[in-house]
Amino acid sequence: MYLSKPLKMKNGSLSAIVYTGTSVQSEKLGKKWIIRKQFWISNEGELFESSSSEAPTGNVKSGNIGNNGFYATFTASAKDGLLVCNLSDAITEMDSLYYERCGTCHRAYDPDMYTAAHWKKILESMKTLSGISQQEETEIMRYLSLLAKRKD
Amino acid sequence: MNTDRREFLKMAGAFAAMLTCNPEALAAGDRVITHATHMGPLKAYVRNGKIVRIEAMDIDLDPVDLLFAHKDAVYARNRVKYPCVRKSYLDGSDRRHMRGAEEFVRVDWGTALDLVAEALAKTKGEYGNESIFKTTYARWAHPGRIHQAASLQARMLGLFGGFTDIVGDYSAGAATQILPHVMGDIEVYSQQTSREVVLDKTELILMWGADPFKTNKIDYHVPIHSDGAWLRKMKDKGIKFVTIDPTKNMSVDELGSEWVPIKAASDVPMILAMCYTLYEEKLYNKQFIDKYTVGFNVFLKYLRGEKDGKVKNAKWAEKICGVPAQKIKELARMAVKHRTLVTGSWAPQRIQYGEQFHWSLVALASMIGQIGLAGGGIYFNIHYCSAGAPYTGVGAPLMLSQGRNPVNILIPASRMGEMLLNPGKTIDYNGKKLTYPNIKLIYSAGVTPIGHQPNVNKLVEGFRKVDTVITHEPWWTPTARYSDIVLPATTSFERNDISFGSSYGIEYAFAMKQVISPLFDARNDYDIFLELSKRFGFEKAYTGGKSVDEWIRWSYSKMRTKVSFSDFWKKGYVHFTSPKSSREYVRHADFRKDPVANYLRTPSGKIELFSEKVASFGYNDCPGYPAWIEPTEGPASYMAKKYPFQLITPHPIHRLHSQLDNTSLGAKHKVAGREPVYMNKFDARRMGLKHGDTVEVYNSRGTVLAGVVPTEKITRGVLAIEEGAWYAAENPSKDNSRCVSGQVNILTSDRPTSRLAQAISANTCLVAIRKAGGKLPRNTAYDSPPVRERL
Repeated sequence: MYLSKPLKMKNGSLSAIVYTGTSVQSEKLGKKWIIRKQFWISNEGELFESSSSEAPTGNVKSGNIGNNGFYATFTASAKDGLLVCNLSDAITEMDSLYYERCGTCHRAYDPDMYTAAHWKKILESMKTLSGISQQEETEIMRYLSLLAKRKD
Repeated sequence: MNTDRREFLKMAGAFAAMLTCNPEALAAGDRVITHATHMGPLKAYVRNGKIVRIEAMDIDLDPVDLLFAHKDAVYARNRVKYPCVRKSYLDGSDRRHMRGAEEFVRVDWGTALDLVAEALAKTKGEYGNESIFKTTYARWAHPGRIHQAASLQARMLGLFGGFTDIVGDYSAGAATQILPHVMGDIEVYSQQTSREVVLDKTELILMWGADPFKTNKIDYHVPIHSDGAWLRKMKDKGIKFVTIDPTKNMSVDELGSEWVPIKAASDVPMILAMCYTLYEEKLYNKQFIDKYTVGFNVFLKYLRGEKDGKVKNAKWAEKICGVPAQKIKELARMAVKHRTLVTGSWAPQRIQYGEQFHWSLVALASMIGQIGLAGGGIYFNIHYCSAGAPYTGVGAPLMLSQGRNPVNILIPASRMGEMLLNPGKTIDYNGKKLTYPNIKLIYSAGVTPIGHQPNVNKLVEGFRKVDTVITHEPWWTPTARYSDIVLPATTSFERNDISFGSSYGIEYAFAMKQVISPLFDARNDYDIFLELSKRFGFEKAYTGGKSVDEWIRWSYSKMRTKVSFSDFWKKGYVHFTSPKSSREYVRHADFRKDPVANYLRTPSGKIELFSEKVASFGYNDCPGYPAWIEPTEGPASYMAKKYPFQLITPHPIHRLHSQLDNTSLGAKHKVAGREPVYMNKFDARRMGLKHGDTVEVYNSRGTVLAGVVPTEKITRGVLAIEEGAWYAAENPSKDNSRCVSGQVNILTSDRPTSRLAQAISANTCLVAIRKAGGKLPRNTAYDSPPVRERL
């Protein structure tokens, strides 16, 4: 299952925001969904699918993370509607935003043309003239990260 | 569903009333309506529904002649008045080889739109969407954001299942492909160091080919011509300008620049020799090279001749480019003594192996070692769209999204003629392979490919091969005349829209208010694509549920401003100011400060003077380091014996590409009724030619008639014909017929720069010239073709 919105998840005293489009393990318990996911936590407090992943899938909001990266499992509960079966359903809004903002002056290039690291630099270069807000930049970068080419 | 003309005008009038502010009354019935163009914002004086005068808006700091020619263009006698269909296309006899030579038949809008829809559906059904070619790739027809044909056409055709699209551009096709390998960014279109910083810190500006006083007359959006004052302030401050150019261009006089005449298409040897001078004289910045670049040793081996036995010293370069060795050395020494900006326009990369131009400049700037310093380093768009204007941060008003194109075929802009004639052919492109689709339908709107594409005769051959050619046009341009279905489009003066300017600064939003009702049967591109969308059943997806009025408001709402839309529309513009951070912006300062944290988007994260990636492609026409490769069609080639003059195709001074060529301004600057050909006065005297003579300029690709202008302001052995004159074949039914107008792309080659960029190389061109004899034909470029009332 995939998150269709950002979700606050916890691991003991650590609290993190996990981004839209992240795949998670889930099970229904009564009216709620119990959500679980293991992440690699970087020194900078960013959450990754694994220690070799390029693009973050969340970030720590509070708690002590120390100086070395480590794996930790985060949990949360959620109501119906937050989880969807397909990635494409999870990222519908970001998809629309990408095509609206990045497909006007020129064609919106397919996200899998470049790696996430490459897209990050492209976005840095383009954001001034495109006039996107910080929030839009974050969402577009998240969208591109999810669908980007895995390596050059 | 179709609306007739009366209904349409009624709708347009109602729409205008809804959006247009109460105009200032001059006299009874007179109105002043604000509008905006690529040449500046304006006030149109309208009497009895007709434009009687155009004035520049007060905010335009340096209005240009082009602005006032719009009145002529709107009322040009060669407006397309009604939907027209080429006769044999309509009657089914399909004499496609007669495109451009056949009469048209007037049809009503319903018939025309049905024919377009039918052709699209048939092409899709028989050959697939990839056989539909959208030529509309740039946005030079007008600066409006909502009625932008390029995005509207992509939106409609995307919903229809897709189309073959264009990648790259004609302007800077080589630079935009090579510079990401070298600098991690296309650079040529990116925000550059702010004007205030340059004015404060720069001491020397080396300008290869740049002519900002000419090219900044226009903007990709709306200029207020603020760059002239900036450049003049620099001159007054004593900043030294050096212009390296085959022509003594208009900026040389304006700036008191030192003119270094150079042969055409030979800047690279000069730049390489400057690099060698800095190496030989131990003047280069070794610390910068070590810290911020990779591959210098490979480049150095090439400079020292270890790869080809030729030392790239100033003497070597002089023989190729004609610039004295002492001058080359002097400029290299001068560059390291001062805070120096290395600038280059894009004309010098529109040559065979054009990738090497900007790569060489990056190598030179790296050796000078000032990249990332205030007022130093590279500046690759000083000539374009008010570069350096500090960004206000408001964001541009948005255009409608192009949406998705399910066909993922992108053809480099320069390959149009080649693609049409060689379906299925596979070519190299920047490390990949591309296969040309089998194009059966060409669809143009807001663009005229028969004009901007090199080797026009080859393109015409391609046009005559496909099943259907559809064009939206306000005028009978060459592309319209070689089409099957021609749909009369409005000019921007005949509809409401929104724009902004300058392109980099975004200091203004402009209300492009409707000035007059649509002329004749003209319709807006938006409405034409809407009608087609209705026929295909995706009207709602096309409109997004919004009217044009609502799209304009939506577009404005995306700008970060507190000024209400109604206040903006009433005033006609909104001004924005730039923050201090923008005014202090220095290109690549962050990289210089910390190249590890702020790495470039190259594989190494540094400036790549040798690119392993480029080298890995194995292209002998684009090696892994900046190099000079002798052109196929250069002065040292065997062809030079037959065609001894180098031909360059600068941007025009008195039109925007082909726009306004059909006006009195265009006519005023013709010589003997045709496009001027500029040649050195000694060359002219040697050949017995004088001002005003009509000549034939020719090579193996074709012949044009032109009017001679002898001048001291061009290097000997070089001819210049400005691009953009409208094409007119002397005998359109004959292949390769002489062009009676002087359209220079008859002569230029569509040979690609290299397998890397596959960009245009029009400035690598050899021609011969001779006095035209016999009875000279009239220039028919601005005539309308014969149009029958019925079949």
